[in-house]
Amino acid sequence: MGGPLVIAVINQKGGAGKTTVAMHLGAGLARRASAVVVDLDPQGSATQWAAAGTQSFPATVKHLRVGAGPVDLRRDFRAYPFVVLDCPPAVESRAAALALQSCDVAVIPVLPSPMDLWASLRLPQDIDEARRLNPRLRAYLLPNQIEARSALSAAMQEALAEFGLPVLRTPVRRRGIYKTAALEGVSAYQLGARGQSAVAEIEGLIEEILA
Amino acid sequence: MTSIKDKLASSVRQAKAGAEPAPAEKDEKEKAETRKTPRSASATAKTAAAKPAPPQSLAAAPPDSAQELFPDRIWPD
Repeated sequence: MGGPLVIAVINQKGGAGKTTVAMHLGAGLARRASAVVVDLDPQGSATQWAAAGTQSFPATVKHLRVGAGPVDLRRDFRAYPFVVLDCPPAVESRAAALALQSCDVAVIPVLPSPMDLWASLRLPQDIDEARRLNPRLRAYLLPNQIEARSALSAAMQEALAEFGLPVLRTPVRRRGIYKTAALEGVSAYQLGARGQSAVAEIEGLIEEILA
Repeated sequence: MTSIKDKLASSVRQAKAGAEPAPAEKDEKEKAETRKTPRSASATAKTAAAKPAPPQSLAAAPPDSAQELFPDRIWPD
C-alpha cells in the first residue's frame, strides 16, 4: 500500500510518556526520510517541545485540533513518508479514534506501575474495534520508563502478556536525557555523547517497527 | 511468599476480569437499574437522618494500613 507510514503513539492513561516516545520516533525517522509529528493532544506538549530552545527539532511538528469536520490524516500528510501521531490521553476522543483508524502501527507505551497497567486494560478492545475499520493496524505494547534495578520493571513482561498484544522487545528506559531534550527543544539525537544510550534504544525501537 | 512478578500479573488479571462483566450479569444489572424507581428528596433526607453519626475519634480504631506500617506502636484507647 502506498502513502506514508503512520504510527500512532496512544494510551488512554496520561503521563505514560506518549509525547517523549512520539518525538523521538519522529526524530529517528527524520534521519531516514522526512517525518512529521502530528500533535493531536489539546495540551500541545509536542508543539511546546519543538518550540522550546533555540535549535530546530529534526522532524516537522504540527498541532492539529480535530473538530467536528472531516479529517483525512493520510491524505493531509501524504507529503511525509513518516507520520507520527501523538494522541491525547483519551481513547474515546475523536482524535484518538481517528488516529487508530488511520494508522499502520499503534505503539502503546505502558509504565511499570500497577495503576498504569490497570488503566490500559481497555486498549486491546479498542484496538479490536479499530481493526474492523482499519484491518492493516498492527499494535504493540511498549514497556516505557523502565528502571534497571526495579522489581516492578522486571515484572512487566509477565503482566503485559495478559493484554494479548505483542510487546516490543526494545524497552525505553527512564532517562533524564529525555527531559533535558524536551527542555532544549531537541531530541536525544542532537545531544551528542549524552544522548547516545537513548539514541541506541530509539533506533532499536524504530528498527522493530519498520521490520 | 508471592513475588512482585506474580502479584503484578495477578492484579492485572483481576482488573481485567473486573473490567469485563459477563453478558448475563450485565443484562441483569441493566434490568435492575430500569426497575428502580427514582428516590424522592424526603426519602433521601430520611436515609441521611437514620445514618449513625460518625465516630468522634478514630484513635480507638486505627486504619489497618497504619497498623501494618507501625506494628509495634501502642495505639491509645
